[in-house]
Amino acid sequence: MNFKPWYSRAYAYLGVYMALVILISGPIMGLQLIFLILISLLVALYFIVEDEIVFYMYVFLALAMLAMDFVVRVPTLQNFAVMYLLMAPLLLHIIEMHFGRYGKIHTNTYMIYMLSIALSFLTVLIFLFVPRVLGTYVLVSAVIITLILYFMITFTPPDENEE
Amino acid sequence: MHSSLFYAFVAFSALLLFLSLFTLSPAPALMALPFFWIVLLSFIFKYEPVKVKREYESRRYVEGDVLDVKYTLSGDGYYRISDELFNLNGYVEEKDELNKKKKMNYFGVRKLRKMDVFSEDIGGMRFSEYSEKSREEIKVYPKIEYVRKFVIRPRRTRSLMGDYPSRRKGIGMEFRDIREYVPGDSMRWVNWKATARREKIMVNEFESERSGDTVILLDVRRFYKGDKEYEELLKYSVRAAATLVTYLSRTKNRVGFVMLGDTVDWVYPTYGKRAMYIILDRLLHTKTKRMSRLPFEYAKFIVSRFVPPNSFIILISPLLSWDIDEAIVELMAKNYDILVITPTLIGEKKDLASEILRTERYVRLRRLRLYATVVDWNVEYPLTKILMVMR
Repeated sequence: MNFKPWYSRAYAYLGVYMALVILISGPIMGLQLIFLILISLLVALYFIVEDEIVFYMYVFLALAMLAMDFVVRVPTLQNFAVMYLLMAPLLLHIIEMHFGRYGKIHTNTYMIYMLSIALSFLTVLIFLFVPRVLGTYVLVSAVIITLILYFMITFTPPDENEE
Repeated sequence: MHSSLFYAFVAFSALLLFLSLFTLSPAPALMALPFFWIVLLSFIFKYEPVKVKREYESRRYVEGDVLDVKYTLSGDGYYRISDELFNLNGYVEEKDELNKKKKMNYFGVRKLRKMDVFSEDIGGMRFSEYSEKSREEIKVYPKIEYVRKFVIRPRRTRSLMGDYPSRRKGIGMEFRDIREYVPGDSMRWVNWKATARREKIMVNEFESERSGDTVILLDVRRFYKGDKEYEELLKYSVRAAATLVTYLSRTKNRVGFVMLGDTVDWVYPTYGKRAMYIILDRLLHTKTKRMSRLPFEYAKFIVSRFVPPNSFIILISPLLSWDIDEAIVELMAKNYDILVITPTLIGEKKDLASEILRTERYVRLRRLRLYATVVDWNVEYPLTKILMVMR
């Protein structure tokens, strides 16, 4: 893990994430404050020891903070959408921290991480909400489409020059 | 191999599922979904561990030259390469070439023992690393000034023909005297003007040029730590030695070398380019950063034990220890001719410390000049200019 100064883009993403989570966590503010203090302490510890394990610890605490926020809410599609959107800056923080050491970060990396949020929302939509309306047909077709797409992405034509 | 990020994502998912069971809510479990998708998408994208081949344009350089290294990369993924010269990172798709340049500021041998290559896939889930060991080394020689002519007049020379003007008369270039013609003298030597004046045939006499042994005695002992300027001074001494060795190797004289640094090193007087290459290679290994506890006695012992008497000794030393003066006198007593080239950084400053140093140095050099030729070299000026003034 490469060390980043506190004013770097990576911590800006983390800051945005924390601010957004606190902004929407009206009902359980006391618990969120405990999380906030713990995360701040771990971030400070990371600045001192620069250890990868500390990084994963505070990232997990940040995740748990968001999870606890949505535990008390009604599981609606809208709430899940907000939850995944809030995860985006945290994933960007992970990208910046992990891939920042390679200099320029490849677009595909951003794409994979951001696509995972969209796909997660789609998964929740298909598996939890759509079956109530359209039943198993949508589920089966979604699985088939996924398999076809997977085949298309991973398929490589045989080399013509190979004897 | 799976990276720590992969295991962290697996741990996050497991802990979130546990949190979901604990709170009896689907929210934490559904938060694990993005990690599942990241892992899946990362494995779909092509990843091939990055392999690196390193090539150099040349293995030998002179101070100030630019080293050109070509890294040929193959594979797919992020990479991080670190060796003794560069730390490179980036992303490679199939094949790439990196041309890196580095200015070689100081002389020495750069050993390139290891190259570490670390690569990771696009999602950071898989990695591979390897380390390539090698015995390659890059030699950076000290910067050499071009000396057109540097006249050395030793008291004694050898019997072989060479470049040093000797006290004997004979065939040579430098005019010495005129005398009366005796049968057997070549007509080319007749001095017609003197003949017309004296009304008898007069011939020119020349200084005979003979060969001699020259030994470069380099003193680069470090007596206290730190100070970049101090290290520069020692480096200037090494450069001066390299300049003189290169010049002397072009003459018909034997060149020897004695170095007193953190260890003692010496080369027996040898002729020509062979001497130059041997001595320059020894100079490469000069280390000016380590402290030295060697007295000048060692150098004196090696010179008097292994170098033939009547040799011409060029002592290059910043004169930082007081035992040198005595040793010079003793070497003179043993029939060695000595030229002292002493680099200094004192300069022309007017502050009190510089004034005291300058006076002390002046007195010391004045005493040394009683026995040997002394060249006081302010390193702000090139050595060649100082040698020209000496002539």
